Amino acid sequence: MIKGSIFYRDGIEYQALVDGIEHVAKNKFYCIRPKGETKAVTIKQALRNGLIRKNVPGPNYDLFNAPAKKDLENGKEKYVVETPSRPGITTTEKIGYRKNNLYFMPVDQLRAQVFLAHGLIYPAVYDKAGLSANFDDALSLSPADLTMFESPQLLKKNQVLLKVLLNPDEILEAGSEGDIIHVTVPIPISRLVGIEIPIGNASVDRYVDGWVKPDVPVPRHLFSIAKDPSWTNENDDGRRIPRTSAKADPYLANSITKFDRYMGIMAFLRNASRYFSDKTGFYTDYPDEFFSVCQCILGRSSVTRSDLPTPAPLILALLDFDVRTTPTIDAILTLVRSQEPYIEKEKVRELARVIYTETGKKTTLAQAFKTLLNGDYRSAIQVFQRFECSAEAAIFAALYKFSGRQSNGYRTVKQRLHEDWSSQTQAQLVLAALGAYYGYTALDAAETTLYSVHSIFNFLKDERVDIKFHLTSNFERQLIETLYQRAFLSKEKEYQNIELFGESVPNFKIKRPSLPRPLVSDTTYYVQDLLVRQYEVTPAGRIIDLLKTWRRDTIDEESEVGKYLISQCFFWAGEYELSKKFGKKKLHYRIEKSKVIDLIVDGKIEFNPRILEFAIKEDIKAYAK
Amino acid sequence: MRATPDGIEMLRMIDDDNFRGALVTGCPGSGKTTVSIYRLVRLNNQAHKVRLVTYQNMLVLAIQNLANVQRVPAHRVSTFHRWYCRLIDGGFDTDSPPTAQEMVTALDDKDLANQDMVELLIDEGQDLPPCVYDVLPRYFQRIFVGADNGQQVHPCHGAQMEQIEQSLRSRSNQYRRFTLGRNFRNTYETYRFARQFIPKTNRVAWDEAILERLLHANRRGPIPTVVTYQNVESRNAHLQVTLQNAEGNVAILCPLGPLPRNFNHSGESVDEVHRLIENMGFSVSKYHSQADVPRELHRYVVTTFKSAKGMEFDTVIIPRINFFKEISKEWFVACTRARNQLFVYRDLSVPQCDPIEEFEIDTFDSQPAETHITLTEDDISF
Repeated sequence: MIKGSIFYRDGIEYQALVDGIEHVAKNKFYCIRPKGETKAVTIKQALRNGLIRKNVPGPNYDLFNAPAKKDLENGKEKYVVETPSRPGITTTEKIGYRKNNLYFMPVDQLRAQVFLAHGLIYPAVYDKAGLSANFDDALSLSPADLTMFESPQLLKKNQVLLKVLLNPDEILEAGSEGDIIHVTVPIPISRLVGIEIPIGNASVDRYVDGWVKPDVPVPRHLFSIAKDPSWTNENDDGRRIPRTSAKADPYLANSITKFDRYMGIMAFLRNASRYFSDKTGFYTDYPDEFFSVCQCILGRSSVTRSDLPTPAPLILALLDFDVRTTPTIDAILTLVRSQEPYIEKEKVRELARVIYTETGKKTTLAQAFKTLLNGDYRSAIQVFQRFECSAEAAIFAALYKFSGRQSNGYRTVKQRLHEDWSSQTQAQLVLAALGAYYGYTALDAAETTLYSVHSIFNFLKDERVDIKFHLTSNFERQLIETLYQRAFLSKEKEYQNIELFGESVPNFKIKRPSLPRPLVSDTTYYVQDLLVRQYEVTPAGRIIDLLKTWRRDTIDEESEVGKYLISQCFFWAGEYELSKKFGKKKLHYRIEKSKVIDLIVDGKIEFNPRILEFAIKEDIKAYAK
Repeated sequence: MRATPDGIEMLRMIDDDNFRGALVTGCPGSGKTTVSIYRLVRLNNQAHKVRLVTYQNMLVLAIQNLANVQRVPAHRVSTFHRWYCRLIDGGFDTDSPPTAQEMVTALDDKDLANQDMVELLIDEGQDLPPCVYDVLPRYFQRIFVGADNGQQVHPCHGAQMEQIEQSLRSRSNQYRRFTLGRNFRNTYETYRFARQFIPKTNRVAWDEAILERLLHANRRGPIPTVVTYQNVESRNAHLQVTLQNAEGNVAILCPLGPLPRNFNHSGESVDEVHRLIENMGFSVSKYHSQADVPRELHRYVVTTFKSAKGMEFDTVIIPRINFFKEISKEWFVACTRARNQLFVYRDLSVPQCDPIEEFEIDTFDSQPAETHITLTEDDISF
């Protein structure tokens, strides 16, 4: 067999890890013959010697769900960690996980923050910022791998203890010395199931409140104070951890970049709907496009909604799916994959010429590119968006405009998103492309400001809206895990991992705000354990919103609104009278606008929203004159 | 301040509480203010009594805006004068500061010692007189000062770093000194352009190591745009488009505050430019030493070169770089406020001081103001 060959035994799939081994199918026990050997060894020995590995059904299935053999032998030994509360989130379960998959990493608390910012736990040698050498932990001594322990370790005052789940393959492939293993590959943050802080800290909440870097997502629910008397000024890292030279694997380094790109896409895309609620009257935690992309990544069984739109080819191309691309998409991919600190004008000019030529040399397109290169981005994208043939060129222009990695582009792009883009669909493509360009690490952990939120959704305005993943649902962990698989293992298949994380990680209930009911409809739903809040302004809400923009405090029979509502509001009015003029009866009334709003909120008057909306608009026009 | 690309020394400074007095020094843009802001955010989050004071009104507003995003109440940030004068119900004259004993008496009267203040953060500490450092440490558990002799606004009455250090040291042996060595604000392109305003004899500004460090840290960005104009109308038309396309916080910087009596050059005065930009339909704040301090800062701010000191903006626009006299340091300060993009308008119509005339040609992108208005339908060469 050559390396990578698959064979089956007793219904289990195995894979050869070296060239030249032979599977002796007839022998009941000694069935694997190593290269050049006459004697065969057992499956167990072959596994131990690293000749083969067991392929589990779906990525990391055994890790979180299927009972490991050692577990069954040892009984159900579990750790239980009390979790602190997170504002707005209530922990409903305790963490439970099997001991033999769990490893412990004492790391400098700054390094832990760097891991969270990256969404990846990685050996120090892959640290682009070159910070690692100055961290005070075992990883600095052994930068080419992740040093993990089978049991909790003593912590220095400035360290935390990360509790990390590994899958059997990772355990098998790691080098081990006693109770220490050296994992040479990065591990996704989805495997982080606990963070212990030194026992000297009085309160978890106060400790966590000190983690204030804007790019660090802090999963508060994972923190706990170490149970052992486990902080000391001297631990024995220095004596026990062998100092190794650092050598980065270019394949892994490339995979880290890919993972950062994939995570960036999903994180930047997730809030798209929130930026457009003023335009659409619709607010949801995740746009449909997010789940349609998830469906492609995770498989249909993981996201069962059938009404999702087809994902845009651009987003799939950014995620390295094999899709048919246009010249503009190719140009966007070139820019996204460049690791340059910003995109130079000449590079854009060159790609613009290609797009112009390959899309039929349209004068409008040339003119818009010229406007863009002269610094007038906003005029250029308006032109690009007007024509179907150039809609993708608008995304290209946005990438150029916000390409400065040293700037605050990842924030400022959102300031005028709702003005710059005529539709949320277009804006989503911009966000996905920029998310890929900046990468996950560069993004903020949460929104600093939400621009253009519909006034009726003000009840949500004080919420802290996450951008990066805070590990609050199994769905999120599953998504991270699968993006990791795509980046590091290049697997392109429909992942059957809906049950992957099972009950091994905490589950949450996000508090649902009390809604201004008649004004907002609630169609909140779940995707697996992920709560997706979804609110829409009702016709009554739209009317009230419109009424508020009309700069009058009272309504009378002279206005269109007054005429339409006269029969319903007459007896609620502050002033009303019946008079006769030239023998004709006439009704006069004047009612406070706020009173009308209250009547609508209380459902005490009925109306046809379309007619009333029309009447208000007419009045706004008339009274503006 | 981010956990990933910034220096570890900055990250450590935010979390370190093992001192009674600390002094952080470093070049412009090295992150002294940023460290103070994040210490403020952390300590406020952890429910400690903490206060940040600085010297300039504009900087207070900018810090309040930044801290507000992290839910720090605005009242935790103020100018030193505002805080101190309110506290003692009296005054503080920087030109003729009180003696240490007078300060102690005033503060003891107000029982500051029993207010359980955990930390006082002083930004731009070089602009406050030495008596401040002799006295205030005794009222706080910790005092954290950011200072740089090279950035003193009023050398005659400010404290030198060495004086600050001596005062903090004499108070407690739990003293820490941090030094920040890298410029985190500017890109290589902006700094390379801006240093040309300073004579080459100035070794600090012309230290090649600064550019090397910026290159090494990959702090790169678009080269500054110099827009040349012959008449003010075309400049204004271009300026309007630039403002419409400017991202993030935008500073429009002028050498003068109020409109001078013998006014004849548009773009020199804050008052005139503010009016101009307001008439273009932008919501814009203005500040100079003779104007009221705005209550809040809009995204667009018009202010003087001097008032912008210590601040940073995503985009900086200088509506007229020419001036009747050489103001090298101010030009340099104005240009180095830019984090990302810098636009400089250069008036070619008046034979007045033109500092850009001798600049290296590859350090900026020169563009005539008329570009935006001369595009024609059939012009497709791009």
